[in-house]
Amino acid sequence: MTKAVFLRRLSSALAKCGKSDRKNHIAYYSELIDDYQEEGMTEEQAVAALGSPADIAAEILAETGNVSSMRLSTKILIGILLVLGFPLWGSLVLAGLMLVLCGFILLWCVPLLSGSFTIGALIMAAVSIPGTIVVIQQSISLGLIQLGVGTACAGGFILGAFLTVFLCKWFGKFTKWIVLKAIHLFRKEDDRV
Amino acid sequence: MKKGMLEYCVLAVLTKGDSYGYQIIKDVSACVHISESTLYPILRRLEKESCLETYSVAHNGRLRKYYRITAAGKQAIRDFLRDWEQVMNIYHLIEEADLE
Repeated sequence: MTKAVFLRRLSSALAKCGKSDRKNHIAYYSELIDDYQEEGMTEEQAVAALGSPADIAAEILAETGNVSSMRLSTKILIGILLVLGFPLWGSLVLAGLMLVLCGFILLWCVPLLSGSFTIGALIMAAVSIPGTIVVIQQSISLGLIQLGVGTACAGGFILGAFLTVFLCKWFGKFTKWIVLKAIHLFRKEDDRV
Repeated sequence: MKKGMLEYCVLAVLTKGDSYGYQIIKDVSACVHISESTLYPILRRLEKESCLETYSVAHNGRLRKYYRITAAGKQAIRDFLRDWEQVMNIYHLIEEADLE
């Protein structure tokens, strides 16, 4: 058995342990295997010297037996409290979620605004520049002004497009970061319960 | 009884200097057998009781966890030795029992 397989099997056999506990056990056995190898053993020999992952996990779980029974009673208590307190925490959570949603909408208004400006500038440039041909036949000065405004709009479109892309990337990253943090938080809670 | 003494064996080994998991197993095994799965709960328990503290040191491209005995750990050894004197007195009393 390789070290990776051993640690993976040990980790799944320790599924009942909390995440940080499991991590500590894995780090301990990983270090031992490395030390055995440094002493001249092969990877297989080092893993074999430790025994089977199932036996080790059973020993660890037996050692922390009291903890797991406490965890079960705590789970039941938390379950009852969650159900009874739903009218209170449910509305608070909903209000919190709405606030977060409002925050996100406000945040995304910035790239939306720059995007609207970009599209507006594009339409103005697309209408003004070809329109110059018609206007210049009536008045050269008006035609030149129209051409200038059209060119300025084209410039505004390019700048606006760059700004929108930059803002979308930045806010996208920020949104992803927030979502990942929230998922991580809930996963941690799952482990603890 | 032997199992209860392993904690003090680990503490005694650490009085000679900071050490890491594999080295502690080797040092304790010179006197009494200790398996890898037995040592770890002992280390955790001792750490929880503030008898030892841990730190990590980079070694061959990985981190190795070292254990250092604390003042509370040294006091635990002193307490054990003091209690053991009483145990020895009891042992001598039992040893002198007339079994004939």
